[in-house]
Amino acid sequence: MTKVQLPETMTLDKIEALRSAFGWFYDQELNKPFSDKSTSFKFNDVTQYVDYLNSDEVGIPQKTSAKHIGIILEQWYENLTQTPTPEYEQADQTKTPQYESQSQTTINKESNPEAFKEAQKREESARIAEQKAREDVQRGIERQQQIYEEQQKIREQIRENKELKQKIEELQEKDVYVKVEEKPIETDLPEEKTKILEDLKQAAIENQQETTKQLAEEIKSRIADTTPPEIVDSLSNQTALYTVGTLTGDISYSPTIQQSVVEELSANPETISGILKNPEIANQTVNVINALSTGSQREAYNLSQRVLTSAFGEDFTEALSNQNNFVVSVSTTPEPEYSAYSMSNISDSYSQELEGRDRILEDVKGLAVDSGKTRAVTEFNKYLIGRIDRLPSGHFLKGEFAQNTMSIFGLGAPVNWAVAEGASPIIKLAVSSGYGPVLGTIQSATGWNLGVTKTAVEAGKLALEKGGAAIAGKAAGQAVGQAAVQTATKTGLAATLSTALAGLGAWAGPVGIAIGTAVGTLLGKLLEKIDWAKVKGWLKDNGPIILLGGGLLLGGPAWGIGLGLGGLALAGKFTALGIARGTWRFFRRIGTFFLITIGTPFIVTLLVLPPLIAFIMFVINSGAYLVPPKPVAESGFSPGTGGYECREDRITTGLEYPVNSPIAIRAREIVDDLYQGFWCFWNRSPKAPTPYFPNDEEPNFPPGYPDLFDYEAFLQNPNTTPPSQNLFWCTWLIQKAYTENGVKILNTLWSPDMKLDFESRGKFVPASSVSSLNAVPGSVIFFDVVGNGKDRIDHVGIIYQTNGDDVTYIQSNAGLKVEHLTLGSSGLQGKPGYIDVIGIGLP
Amino acid sequence: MKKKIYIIIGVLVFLAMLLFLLLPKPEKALPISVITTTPKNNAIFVFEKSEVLIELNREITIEEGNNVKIKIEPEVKTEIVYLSNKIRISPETNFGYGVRYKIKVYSLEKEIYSFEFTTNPFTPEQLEKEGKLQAEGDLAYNEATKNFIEKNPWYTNLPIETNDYRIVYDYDKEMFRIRFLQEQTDEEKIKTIIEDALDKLERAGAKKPIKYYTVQPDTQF
Repeated sequence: MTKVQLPETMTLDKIEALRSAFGWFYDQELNKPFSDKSTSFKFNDVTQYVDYLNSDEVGIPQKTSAKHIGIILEQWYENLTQTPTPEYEQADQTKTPQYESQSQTTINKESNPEAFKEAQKREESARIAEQKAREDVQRGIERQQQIYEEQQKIREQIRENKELKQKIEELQEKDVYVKVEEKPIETDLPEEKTKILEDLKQAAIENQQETTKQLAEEIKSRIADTTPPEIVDSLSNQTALYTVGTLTGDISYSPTIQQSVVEELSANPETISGILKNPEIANQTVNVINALSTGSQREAYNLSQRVLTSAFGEDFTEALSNQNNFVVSVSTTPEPEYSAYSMSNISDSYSQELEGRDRILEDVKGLAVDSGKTRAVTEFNKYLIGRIDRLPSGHFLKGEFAQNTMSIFGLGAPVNWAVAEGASPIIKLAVSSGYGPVLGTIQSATGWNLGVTKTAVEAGKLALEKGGAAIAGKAAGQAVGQAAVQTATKTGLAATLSTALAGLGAWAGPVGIAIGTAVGTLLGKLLEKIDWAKVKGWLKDNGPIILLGGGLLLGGPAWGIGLGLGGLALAGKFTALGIARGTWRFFRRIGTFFLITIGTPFIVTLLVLPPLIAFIMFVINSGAYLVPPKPVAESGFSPGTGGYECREDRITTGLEYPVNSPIAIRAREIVDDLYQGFWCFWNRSPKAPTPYFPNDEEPNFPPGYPDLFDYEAFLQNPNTTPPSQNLFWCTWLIQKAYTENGVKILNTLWSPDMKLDFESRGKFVPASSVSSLNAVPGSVIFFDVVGNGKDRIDHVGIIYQTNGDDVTYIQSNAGLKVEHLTLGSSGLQGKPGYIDVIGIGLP
Repeated sequence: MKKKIYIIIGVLVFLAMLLFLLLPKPEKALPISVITTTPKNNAIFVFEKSEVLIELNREITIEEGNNVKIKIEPEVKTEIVYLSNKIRISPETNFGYGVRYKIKVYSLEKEIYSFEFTTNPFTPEQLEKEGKLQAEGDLAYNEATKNFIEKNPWYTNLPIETNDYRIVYDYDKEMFRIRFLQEQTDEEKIKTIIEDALDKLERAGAKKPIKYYTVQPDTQF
C-alpha cells in the first residue's frame, strides 16, 4: 500500500471529523448526510465524502479502497496525536527472562531533575515489585512440588493399604470381642497438667460428644496462631476425637487402643485361628495385621499427636498415649463386658487416617498457592500502576474512560476478590491459550514490554520441566516450549497451535500462552491490514457488552454486570432490552470477532484490563500447573451422585463376542474403551496419553471420539451440577453404534426424542411385548426413572445378548457398563419402584 | 602439436568420465504418496474443529511442497501447513456440521490420494441443550440404580449361571428363578442343585429366607 503523506493543511480536528464521517458512512448510512460543527464539514452522501478525500486538499488517490482509506485516516490521526509507534519484540528463548522497564516518555535529567528522580524511583520500585512477585511465585511452585511429592507417598500407602485389605477380605466380616479396662492415669506431669488430664477424662466419660467439641475448641485456640486457618478446624477436630476416644477407652476413635487390640491378636495367633478356619489364611492374616497396625500406629500418631503436642506440650501427649492407661483383653466369642469390634475397623481406620492426611495436604497445597497468589497480586498491582503512571499523558489508558474503568476494577481488586472466591473463572481465563494472542497484541500495539513473551516461554518451560517431568521430561519440555513458539512465530498460523496444544494437554495453558503471545506479536504487526472502521462500527454496538462479557469472565456476575451497566450507561443504552440484546450479540459474535479483529488497538483499549489480569494470573498460576492433574481415582472427590467405585483404569465389559449384531459389537467396543469421567460414571472416551490422564491407554477400538469430553470442566469439578458439560452421554453410544453401522436414526441426544424416532419408524416394542424372540441384540432399551417427577424416558442402553431369562445390556454415562434385566410373564421387567422399562427400539 | 592436443583432450574427456562415474549420483526421489490420514477414510462424527493431517511417505522439500495441492469438496477456506512429511489442513473457522468432505491430494497436477470423512452432525447449541437434558436423565437413572442396589445387593451378581442352572430374579413373582439347564428328574440331584444355588445366592447378598422357584429348560416362567 502506498503511503499517503499527511497534508500540511490537515488539522487534528479535520482528521477527527473525517474519521467520524468514515465511521458514519461505513455503518451503511451511505446516503444520509454527515455534518461536523467544529470543522463545518458537510457531506450529503458518501460520494461527496469520497470526492473530498480525492481532492487535492486531502490527496487520497482515486479508487483507493474503503479499507485503505480507513487505514490512511488512522495513520494520519496517529501522526497527529503522536501515539508511540509499536515496537515488536521477537521471542527469545535463550536468555533468562527479565522484566525490562520501557519508559514511554522522555524525561531529561538536566531539564527536569525532579521528574527524573521520580521516574527513577518508580523504575526501582517497579523492578523490586517484579522481583518480589517472581520470588513469591517461585516459592509457591517449590512448596507445591514438595507437597505433591508428599501426597504421592501417601497415595502409594493408600494403594498398598487397599491391597492388604483385599488379602484379609475374609476377616473383614468377622468380629472379635474387646474389653478395655481403664486404669488411673500414670504420669510425671506437673500437677496443673495432671489435673487438666484428669478433668478431661472425667468430662469425656460423662459426655463424650460435648467434651470432644470443647476440646476441639481448646486445641483450636491454642494452635490457631501457628496453623493455617484453612486446616485448623480439621486438625483440631480430629485430634480431639482421638484424644477423647483414648481417654474413654472408645476403641472406635482411639488408635492407641486399636493398636493394643492388634498387638493382642498378633501375639496370639490362635485367636486369629479361632475366627478363621483356614490356617494358611490365619497365618497370613497375622502378618497383614502387623503391617497394617504398624502403619496405623505411625500414621495415626503423626498428626493428632503432633497437634496435641503443639497445643499442650510433649509431656502431656506422652502421658495421654501411654498404653499402660488401660488393659485390653480380646476374645473370639461374646463374653460379658466385652463389646464386639469389627476387624474391618483395623484396616479401615488406617485408610481413614491416610485419606484424612491426603485431604489436609490438599488443603495445604491450595493454601501455599493462594498465599503466593495474594502476595504476587499485590506486588504486580503496584507494578502495573507504576507502568500506567509512566505512560505519556495522551495515552488511552490515561483517558477518562480508562481511568474510570480502572477505578471500577480497582485494577487488582477483582483479582484479589477472585482469589478469595476460588478464582476458577480467572484461572481458566489465565491459562486459556485464547488470551495469549491478546497479550501479545497488547505488547505490540502499546509498545509496552510486559516481558510477556519471555516470561511466558520461560514459565512454560519451567512448568514442563518440573511438573511435567513424569510426562515429558526436561529435554522434551524445553523442546516443546521452544519449538512451539518458534513455529508459531514463523508461520503465524493459529492453526498450528491447536495440534501442539492438544499434544500438551493440561500443559497447554502455560505453553499456550507462550505460543499465543508469539502469534499475538505477529498479529500486532498486521495491524495496518485490519479494517479499523469496520471494527469501530462493531464496537459502536458492542463495546459496552465487551465489558459486560469480560467482566463476567473475570469476576462473575457482580463485576460483570456492574461493569457492563457502567459501559452501557456511558453509551446511553441503559435499557433492559439493550442489555439483553447486547449480551446475546456479545456471545454470538465473540467467537468470530476474536479471529478477525483481535489485533486492533480499539479492542485492546477495551480488553486491556482482562488480559493484563490474565497475564498476572498466568504468572501466578504457572505454579498451579506444576502438579499434573490427577487421574479420576486420585482426584480426592467423593463419588457424587451415583456413588459408584471410582477407578482410574478402564475395565472391560467382560462380555464375549458371539453375538450376531454389528451394532451390539460396536457398542461393546466403544464401552470397553470408556474411562470414568464425571461422577465416576463411564463417560470419558480416551485421547491417550494426555497429561490430564497420564495412565490412559489408546483406544483398543478407535476412533474413541475423545473430543467430546470437557476436560477443563472436569478438572474444575468432577461432580459438576448442573451437568451441562460435554461427555459420552448414553444416547451418544446409540448414535455412534448405529451411525457407524450405516443405520440412520434421528439426529438427537435426548432419549425421549430418540424413542419418538423409533416409534415413528414403527420400530418400537413396548416392554410388555418384549420376549426373547424380539429382544434382538443391538436394540435400544428405553428407561424411565420412577418418581423423579419427569414422566419421560431418562436413559437408554443397548441389548448385547439375550437368553430365555435374561437380557444383558450395555450403556455409557452410567456407573455400571453392563447390567441385566429379567424376562418374565409380563415382558421385559424393570427395577420395580426405581426404574421402569418402557420398551425397546429395534435396529 | 595436434597429437598433444588430442592427448590433452583425451585425458580431459577421460577425467570427466571418471568424475562422472565416481561422483555420487543424486538419488532419485521416491514419488510422493500418502501413508495415512487423520481422520481416516470414511470416518464419521469427526469433530468440527478438527484439523486434517496427511502423512506422506517421506519429507518433502519446499519446491515439492509447492507442487502438492489439496482440494477439498465442498470447498472450505483452510490454512495448509507443510511440515516435514506431514500436511496439516486447518479450516479458517470450523468444518460444517454433519457435512461429508472429500479431500484430494495432488502432486504435480496428478491426483495421488483421496479420502472422505463426515463431521459431527450436532451443533454446539444442540449439544448444550440436549446434552444437559440427557445428562440429567442419566444422573437420575444412576441415582435410582444406586438406591436399588443398596436395597438389593445381589443385583450386580446376577445372573448366576453354572453348567446346571441359571438364576435370575423374577420381579413379578418377587422371587428368584432357578432354571435347570438340563432336564432334571432326579430328586437328589435337584436338591443338590438347589442347595448350591441358594448358597451362591447367599454369597451374592440375598438374605435368608430366600424365595425361589425352579423351571425346567424350555419352560415358560
